[in-house]
Amino acid sequence: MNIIQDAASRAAAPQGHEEPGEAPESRVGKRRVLVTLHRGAPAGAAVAMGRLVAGALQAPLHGLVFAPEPLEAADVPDHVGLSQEELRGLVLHVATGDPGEALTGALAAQAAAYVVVGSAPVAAPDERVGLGELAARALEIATSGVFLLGVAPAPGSRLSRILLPLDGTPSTAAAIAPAGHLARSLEADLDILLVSEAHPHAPPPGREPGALVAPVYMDQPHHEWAAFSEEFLQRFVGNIGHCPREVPARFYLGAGEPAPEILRFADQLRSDLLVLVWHGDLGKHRGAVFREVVRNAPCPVLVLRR
Amino acid sequence: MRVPESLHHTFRLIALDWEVLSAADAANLIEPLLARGARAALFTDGDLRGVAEAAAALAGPHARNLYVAARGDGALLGFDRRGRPLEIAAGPPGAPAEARLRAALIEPLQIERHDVLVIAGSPGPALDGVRVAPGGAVNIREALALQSRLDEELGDFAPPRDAAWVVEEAGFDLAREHEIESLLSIANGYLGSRGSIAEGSSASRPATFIAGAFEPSADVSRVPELVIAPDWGRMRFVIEGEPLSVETGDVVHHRRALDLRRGALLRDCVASGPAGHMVHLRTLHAASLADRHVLIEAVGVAPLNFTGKVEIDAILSGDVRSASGAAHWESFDAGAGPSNLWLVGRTRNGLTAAMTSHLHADESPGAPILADRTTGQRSAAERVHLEVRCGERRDLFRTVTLHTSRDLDVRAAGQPDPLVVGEALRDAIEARAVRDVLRDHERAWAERWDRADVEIDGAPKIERALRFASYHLISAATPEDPRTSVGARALSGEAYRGHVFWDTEIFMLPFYVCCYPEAARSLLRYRYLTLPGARRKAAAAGYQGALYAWESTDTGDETTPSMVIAPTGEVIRILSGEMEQHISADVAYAVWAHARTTGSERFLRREGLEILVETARFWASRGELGADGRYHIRHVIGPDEYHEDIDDSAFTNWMARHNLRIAAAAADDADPEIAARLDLRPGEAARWRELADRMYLGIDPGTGLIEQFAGYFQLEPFFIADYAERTAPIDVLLGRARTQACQVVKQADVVQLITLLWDEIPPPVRRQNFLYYEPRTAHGSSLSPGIHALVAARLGLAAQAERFFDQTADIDLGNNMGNSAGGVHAAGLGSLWQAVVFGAAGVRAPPLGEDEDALVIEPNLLPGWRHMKVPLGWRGRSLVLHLEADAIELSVLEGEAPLRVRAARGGAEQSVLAEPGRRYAARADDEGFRRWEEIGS
Repeated sequence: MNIIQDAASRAAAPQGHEEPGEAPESRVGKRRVLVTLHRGAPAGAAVAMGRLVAGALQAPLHGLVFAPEPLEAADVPDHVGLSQEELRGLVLHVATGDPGEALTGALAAQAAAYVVVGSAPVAAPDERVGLGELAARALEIATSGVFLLGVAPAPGSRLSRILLPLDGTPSTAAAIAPAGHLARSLEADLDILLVSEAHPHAPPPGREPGALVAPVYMDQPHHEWAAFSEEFLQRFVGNIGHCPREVPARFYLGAGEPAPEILRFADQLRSDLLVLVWHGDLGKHRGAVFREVVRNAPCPVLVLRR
Repeated sequence: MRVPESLHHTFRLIALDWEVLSAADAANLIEPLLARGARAALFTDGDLRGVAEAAAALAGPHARNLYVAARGDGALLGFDRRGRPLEIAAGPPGAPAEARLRAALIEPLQIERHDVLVIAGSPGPALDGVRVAPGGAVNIREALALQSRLDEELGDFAPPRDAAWVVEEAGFDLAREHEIESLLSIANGYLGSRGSIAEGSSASRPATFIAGAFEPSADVSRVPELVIAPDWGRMRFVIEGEPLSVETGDVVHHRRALDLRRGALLRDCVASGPAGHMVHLRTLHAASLADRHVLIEAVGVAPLNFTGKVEIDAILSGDVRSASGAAHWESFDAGAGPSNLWLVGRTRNGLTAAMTSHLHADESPGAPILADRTTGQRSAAERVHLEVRCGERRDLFRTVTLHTSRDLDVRAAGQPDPLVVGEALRDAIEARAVRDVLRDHERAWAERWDRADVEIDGAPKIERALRFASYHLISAATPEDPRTSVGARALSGEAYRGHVFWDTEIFMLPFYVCCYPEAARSLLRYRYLTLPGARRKAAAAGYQGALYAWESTDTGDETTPSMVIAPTGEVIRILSGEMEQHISADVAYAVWAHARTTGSERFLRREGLEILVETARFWASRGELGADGRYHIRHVIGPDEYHEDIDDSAFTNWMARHNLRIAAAAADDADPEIAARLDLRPGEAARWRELADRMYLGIDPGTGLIEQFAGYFQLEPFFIADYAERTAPIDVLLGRARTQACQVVKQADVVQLITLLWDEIPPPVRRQNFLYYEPRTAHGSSLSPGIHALVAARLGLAAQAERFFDQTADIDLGNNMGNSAGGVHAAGLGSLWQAVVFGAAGVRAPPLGEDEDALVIEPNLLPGWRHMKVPLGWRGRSLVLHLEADAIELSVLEGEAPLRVRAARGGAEQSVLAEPGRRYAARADDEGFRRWEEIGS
């Protein structure tokens, strides 16, 4: 077990390195997976998720341990409620002081491809998103993907089905490349979900060039659905999302309120992971779907920033 | 004086100060641009009417493309077809002239700002565009002269000046590429190629379809699908050792334009590679309408910042796969001659296709270009090394031939090897100037447009959309092979696998009958040739006669898949192949309508009779007489496919009744030999008449409403306005159970019936039913809005008609659905033509029982539609109609006998016996049309 002792106010870790000129995929592969560990959080689930992801990406796995005071190496397992064996292989960093500040510092300093954080509130939830404060802070500051582990059970030995809801816009699809590469590394399937809505007075669907909504004209559904599904996958998952071709991808269409539909599909498809592309705005009138899904997801959620 | 580089562009709208032009300049410089289709807007501080008069004089016959605007006070004048000025009231009240110009012209025709040239002093017209300040008359003269010169310099690569004759896509967008490839496809009825870029991209899905050639798909059901031919248009451009790519290169400019008039796809691209070598690349692709086996490709390449080398690879490639994942081709042979290439492929089902490719350095015949030619297992390629000089364009032409073992002309030649026929054609082309081959193609298109081009003054968006529709309809059909019909997505995409539906007979055929009668006859013969399949289907279901396949391919056997897994996860059984039986009545209707419209009963009395008799036999065996003494047809699906397995579908029953009646009438006059062959028994026709008379029609005598099917009125009420904004078909949002339990209608059903059997339904009943069903209709099919536009126009419901015209025009061009990626909506295109000609122009046949050799015209021009020009083939005559709100002008261009033409308004009519070669006019007032007058030949 390697321990690097840091104060919250200082940079939390040695600098990660990036090979200049490498393709984004390979950069992701060599960057770290950072697991946050603190008392009261589902540390076992977080480490398990971190291990799965780091293993798939062949990335170093680091743990950021929050403690009120500096810890001895031997005290870390007790502090986070895990055994030495369970922490095997993690490069641990201990941060004191405010966890949010510590995470901010760590993410600023580390080249993390992903950060794993427990999202169930330990105390009062963050008002804006309804998650624990650390998870809310991670969403706020992380430019990398954030895994949120809520009340869902710890991931199994592998992630085989990943649910990826898309809104049919190129700008959202442009953010999903990490999910595709992760799916390939995990040998997982992608279930792509588009949710359609109808409201008498709803604003018209977005007119972003290249956006797709489920076709309003469905002359012969058995032909149209096949063609539309194929087009949706090629356009957003392949051409724009740059997901590797070898990742099996299926298209699903939901109808109704987006959040309940996403949760319904996650449950129905027994998804191991739900990926959300998020615009990063938790303003009062925005992000309602995001909030509802991350709070109630039946499985871990990976949040990618658009 | 050097004209700025920004002006080296073929502008489509030129706005300029009238006062800075001399009359001579205006006549010499503006008129030629107007003649090419450019629009000009002249802004003046002077006397508007006076300027308009002078401008009209210089514009001559092209005044339709001219506008005169008053600076400051908002008045904008256009010109009618006679060159008379008229006020353009588009835009909000009190709007400046520029706003009116935008509303009347720029926005409906999608004229981009880079296509607008504003030559004016400061501040000048408030129009977005390339602006140039007049530095004196010479400056303007040079700028305008350059415009004329550019068209000549660009030659075959010149994009259309007329924005109403082009569909253009700027830039390169991975997200939209598939739908762009569909919209810009080129075809000639024998083959069709998607508008993919020649060098390809990660999003490109090039495909060339061979009409009528089907192979099993890789779908779960393995339904047949159109064969994807070897890729003929593939090219590779290597600039100073670096391959050109719009994805990875630095693209300064990229524009593709489908020239609807010439049937040519043009591309204009300025890009540079990693080392900075910048080239201006232009391409042209066409599928010859003059010889359907010939494909034409032209490339112009000009280095913009270097002198050096460019390599161009022209490739025939068998590396193709259908969207279903099927690989149709089993083996290939490739070869190269001293001046050409060939590729022969054989499909798993035994079709042989042969392609040849020949490069031409210039237009001189017999001047093969020097190239390295190589072959692979599935491809053949020729590489041209060009030494290029900075700023100088080098052109390269290529002709490709395609023949298959199923071609009638290959068979007629007694030649089993399509390569031999292909090489003979290639040799013939090689001996000609390649531009002559292109000119033949352009002439063939010009002939088609002479008979099909509708002009609508005051509705440029609809006019352009209708040209797009007519282009794809002309492209989709061939009179030369009755074994093919037009699939739901024509030859522009793989969706629907090339299958043929009622779309062809009910939605597209009227266009062909009136504008392309040779193709119409061939399409009807397809249904005759597939009659054996229809007989098999009827027999398999336990009925007599012929039940046409809901989805038909080459044999006429049913090819509708039996189930599908919807993206909602549901496994859905597909019942349309089994229950959507109105298709048989639709085909019979088409046979009858063809005879009524063309005046030729030749087909009706021979092959058509067989169709009518066999479909009538089906209906006579299909229904059952109920206790009420009525003939009922149960367990069917009507056009509204949201409600399945229903009884007494109004559409089905009314159309079956019509089928029985027209068959009985045809049987009465049947040629004895054909009657004997059909085993037409005595009393059979009488039986059909009796069943027709007993047919249950579902009319509510109290309200006049036709119940869409038994029990429809008892369903949960539904109004589509409650779901005004939705992002999915309504049946998906409601769920299947609720959809079937409520009155939501997928598409025109009773309204479709009104359109087809107009004279059988009394006028008040038409209106009542339209007003009842329209608010319940979700238009969940592209077949629906056009039919609603047609009926709304005929009923004088102008606001609704406008909305539906707009919706129909947007089905493909509006880019609002996402499912044009699989091809254009051919039936929707046909419905737009019907809405314009049968709806707004009000063209129809006279009611049954009246003199059939006649044409009824009851114009219903929409608000703002100032004038329509409609060419029309009608009962063997070729007509041109000019329609205005209160006037009809008619020319009979061709024909051997006079035609009775009846101008109708408000129940009153005036008729004239119109002689071939003469022109007539009738004007209307509040009481209807006054007498026709001959206005000279």
